[in-house]
Amino acid sequence: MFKKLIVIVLVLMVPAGFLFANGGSGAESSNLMVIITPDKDNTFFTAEADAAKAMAESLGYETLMVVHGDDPNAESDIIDTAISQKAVAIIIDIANADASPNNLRRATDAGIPVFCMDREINVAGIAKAQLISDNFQGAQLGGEYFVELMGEKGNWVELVGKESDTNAGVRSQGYHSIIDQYPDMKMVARETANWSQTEAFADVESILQANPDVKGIICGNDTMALGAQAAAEAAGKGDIIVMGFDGNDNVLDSMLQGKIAGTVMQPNALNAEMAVQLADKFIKTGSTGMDQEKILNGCFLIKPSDADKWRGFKKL
Amino acid sequence: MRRYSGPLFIITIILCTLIISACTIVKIGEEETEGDGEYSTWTKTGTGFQAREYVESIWEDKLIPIYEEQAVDYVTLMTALEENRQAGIDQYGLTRQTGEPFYIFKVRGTARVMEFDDSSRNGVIRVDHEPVDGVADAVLQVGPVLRGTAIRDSVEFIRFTDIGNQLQFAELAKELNNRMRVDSIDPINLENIEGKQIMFLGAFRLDKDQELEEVVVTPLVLEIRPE
Repeated sequence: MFKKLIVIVLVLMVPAGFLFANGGSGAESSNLMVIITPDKDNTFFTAEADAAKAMAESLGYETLMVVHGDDPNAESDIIDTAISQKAVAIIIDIANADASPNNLRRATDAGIPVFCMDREINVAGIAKAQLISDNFQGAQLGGEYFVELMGEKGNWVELVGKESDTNAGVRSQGYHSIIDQYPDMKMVARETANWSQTEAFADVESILQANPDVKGIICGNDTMALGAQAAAEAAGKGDIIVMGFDGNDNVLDSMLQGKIAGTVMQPNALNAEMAVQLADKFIKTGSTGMDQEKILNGCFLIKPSDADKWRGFKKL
Repeated sequence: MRRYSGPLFIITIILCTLIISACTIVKIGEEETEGDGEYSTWTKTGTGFQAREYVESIWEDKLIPIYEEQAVDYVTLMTALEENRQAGIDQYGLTRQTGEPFYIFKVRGTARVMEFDDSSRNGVIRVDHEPVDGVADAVLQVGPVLRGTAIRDSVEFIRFTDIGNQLQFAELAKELNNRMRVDSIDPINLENIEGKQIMFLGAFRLDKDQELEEVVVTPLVLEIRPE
């Protein structure tokens, strides 16, 4: 509760500071792109925010960077700020698939075009464009590689991400759509570790005590994979096959050291850059020029031999 | 649905009132009914996209006719790709823009089965196209595990934006693969397929940096020809 309170107060402070600084009114000819992401601590989201910001600034826009902490109420307040600031566009990685469409609709009703990146909304016609990583396809790639490394058999564990995040469920279903077709693959534990490295460490530590014969651990994201691998190593089981998802630099380094077995690279920076580029095009021409709202960008399987070819979610 | 609890609610109200006079609090629990107006949903009926029914509606009437019309001879295609990859892609491929583009080819072939390999649950047959030289020149996946989304991605009329979300789009790929298995694989006895002559329509995906040797064809139609 206290943590939630802090988040909300912090988020409200942002508009407060802005309003005081600008005397409470948005400029008539605003040049402001409001870029909204979930989290300041996860490198996945900071890379996304950085890529959007860099692209926006290179196209001559001012930016306001805000995080909603996966809280739809905080997101709602940020949208109000964007409206009062007369933002030219909102670039957002949404808080919640169920609640966010109503928040975003207020922005579009106020004449501010909205562009989604990463997480998708299922209501058509609100966002001008949605740039989405194909999480399901990516999870299938990861699942196939995991099965291959396991030799199509053995005991395995799944670590699932935060339940409120659609992508946690999408990836889990993607994994299962592949792995469950192999009758000799036996899932002995499935825990949510909320995208967290420390929770993953604790979960795997206790799972391995109860199940000494675990051969592989597949994780819904890379931070959990790092926690899982560390826990396996601490238990003297460094040879357990650990798969991640995202493609963050720490995991790529771990793969180069022969620890984590593989990950799935999300076109995270590309999604963010394309969202801003399409916003820019829409602002200038009144159209994104795309014939569809949802644009699905494919993920890539990264094996250890490819781990040095990517950094910052971009191909070198 | 979350609602504001007491102290949090009061503090939020005070902050909103003091700082952002224009701020309105929207209750998350409030469901707006979706009309047929500007904001239509992908799931208008509330039951969501029905992949199996959709596959049923397109399989015979749209999908197979497109393959029969557009599929290119496998050997002709591979020869073209080997000679000049980009030209082959431009002439025969469907380019899918998804970040890094990938290419889908619809193919047809007549070949002799050299080997049925079920060492993996993703079983394959290796076949030798005419003129038969005793060397396998193509790989077709025959399951029971079927990988990938080649059938779904092979036709322009199936678009992600029209289907809905990732789960529904993935479900569609699975249902297409399932339909193919039921129609084309299940009737065949794979155990004695080696040595037989087959005719197939199928598709494969080629990624930007992928070697041609790694191509695996997903059949759409697979028939054993009478000797």
